[in-house]
Amino acid sequence: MAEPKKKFAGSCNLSPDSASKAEEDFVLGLARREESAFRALIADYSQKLYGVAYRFLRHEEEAREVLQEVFRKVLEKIDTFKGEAKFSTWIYRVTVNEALMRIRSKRGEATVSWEEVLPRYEDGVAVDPNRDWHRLPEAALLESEARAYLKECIGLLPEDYRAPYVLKDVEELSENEVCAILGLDKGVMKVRVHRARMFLRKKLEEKYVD
Amino acid sequence: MSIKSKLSRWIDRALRMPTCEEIEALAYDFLEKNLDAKTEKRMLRHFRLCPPCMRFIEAYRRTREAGRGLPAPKLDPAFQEHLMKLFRKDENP
Repeated sequence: MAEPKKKFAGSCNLSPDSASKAEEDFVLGLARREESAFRALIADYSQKLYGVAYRFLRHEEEAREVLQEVFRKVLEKIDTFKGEAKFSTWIYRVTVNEALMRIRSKRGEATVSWEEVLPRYEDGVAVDPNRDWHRLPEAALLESEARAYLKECIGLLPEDYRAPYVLKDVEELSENEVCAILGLDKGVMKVRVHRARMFLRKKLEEKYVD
Repeated sequence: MSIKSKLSRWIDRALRMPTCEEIEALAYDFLEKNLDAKTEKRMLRHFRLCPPCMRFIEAYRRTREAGRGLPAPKLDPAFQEHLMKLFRKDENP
């Protein structure tokens, strides 16, 4: 029979102090090779990290390989985890780095012509009229076909833009978490997420908005 | 400079509103509710007078909403068990 799942900072609503203590216990459990800690790690992070890896790689088998590598690295490096960042930030960073490494080694870098994506202005006034999305039903972009198309478009983003976009908008992490995971200045992170949204807006508009 | 541009610049100056270009630059912080109340109010005033920017911010908002929680494939429980085996192997090499 499986041992009961350990509660720790990443999995429950604890006060900051008790959350920090729970995380400390959890990390200590991993360092001591406690099976219950590893089981909690799998229960709380495997699906989330698999999702992140999949969104970067768009390939289930590769995403599973990344996940396996991340968990291997956690076991190998948990002794070096000093708690300077939250454990969740650390493990997300390991996952993103692993996924990006695979993209870089196997595929050419995607490029986007930002001139074609970003609106043009003349004396501060937009030159091109924006299409009217009000006529597009709110639910239309939540349907599976539209979501599949959006995933495909996310895959077209250069990795520097895809990473912050996926973490901020898809994973819905806070600005501070995204910056900590990617090691980005907040201003840079905002510009990249904004541009990624502008690219995706254009792609969705071309397909779904008259 | 076109009449439209001149008129828009005059309105901007008169009402101290952000320009359309500034609206785009502020769109991220507007949606994330990072702006101070004064700037947000100015943006809202701009939207009331500028249908293209109103359409822009609606499209921008809908794009952000579309990405939220985009589903990823479910991880097979058998793979989670496989990870558990890796742990046991690591523990007893």
